[in-house]
Amino acid sequence: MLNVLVVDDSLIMRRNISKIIESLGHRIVGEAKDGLESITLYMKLKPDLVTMDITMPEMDGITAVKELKKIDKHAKIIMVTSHGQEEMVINAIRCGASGYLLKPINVVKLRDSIRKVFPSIVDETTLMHRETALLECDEICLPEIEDIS
Amino acid sequence: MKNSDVLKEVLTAIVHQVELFMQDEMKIETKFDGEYRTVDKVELKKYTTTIGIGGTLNLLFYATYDEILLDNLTRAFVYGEIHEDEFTELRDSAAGEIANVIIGHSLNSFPNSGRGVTITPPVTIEDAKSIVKTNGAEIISAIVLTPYGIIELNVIGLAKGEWNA
Repeated sequence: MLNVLVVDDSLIMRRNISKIIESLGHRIVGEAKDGLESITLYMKLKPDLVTMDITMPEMDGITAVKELKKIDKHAKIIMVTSHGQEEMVINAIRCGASGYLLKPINVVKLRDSIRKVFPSIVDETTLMHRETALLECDEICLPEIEDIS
Repeated sequence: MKNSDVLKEVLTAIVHQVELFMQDEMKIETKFDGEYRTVDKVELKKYTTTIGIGGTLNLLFYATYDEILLDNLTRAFVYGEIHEDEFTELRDSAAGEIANVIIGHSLNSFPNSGRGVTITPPVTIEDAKSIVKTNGAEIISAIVLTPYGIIELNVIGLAKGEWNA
């Protein structure tokens, strides 16, 4: 399970990202409305992962990534933004972002992005798939019980 | 490139993205009549979102929504259940975020592939009445119809001169 900090100036995006991340079995430790607030919360909460919007008031997401990397060079940050431009993606990665996710988001997109950054992480959907696979295996492998009466 | 051509190219890209977003992401049918109208005044609906388009361009974008359409978009955009007491706040936020996603995805189709273009965070205004053209400005407008009402898209910029974009 990962401790996650969600950074976005939009209420609906903070809510959507948080709900999806929680549905994947991770924990939301904080939400920030801009880059400046994200730095304060990062130092206080020390999250495993940050999801970061780009266009925000006070301090934009690219500047915030640079600052977070100064504080913690191992910080894992996934950019979650509506900017589809290649130059923006390259810029974010150069500044130290670990991943880049284009809005609008959904469970699959976010789950796959997290898996790319944390390949060994096991989330709720992985567990569900494993359980389903085991059940299917049981159905196939278990021998029928003979009637001994 | 003439300013009026830039405005139309920007609005064309936005209309295309509105249709893609509504149909693919929100599962709402759309119909665009293909007309880009030059207007002197825009009558605004209850909810209007504006985004500044800066950098190598210098424009204002306005999206004004029919209330029922915005209600439906909000319900489609939100992940999970919505409690009625949080709906109004989420709707205000959805208006801005939807406009933000549409403009963000349109950037690649702006003049010069949107290179050097910046956008401001969205601002949503409620109950504003109208936008009136002033000297030197040009407003072009496009209307996209849906089963739940319309979304009217407007781009405002300088009327004369040429752009470097």
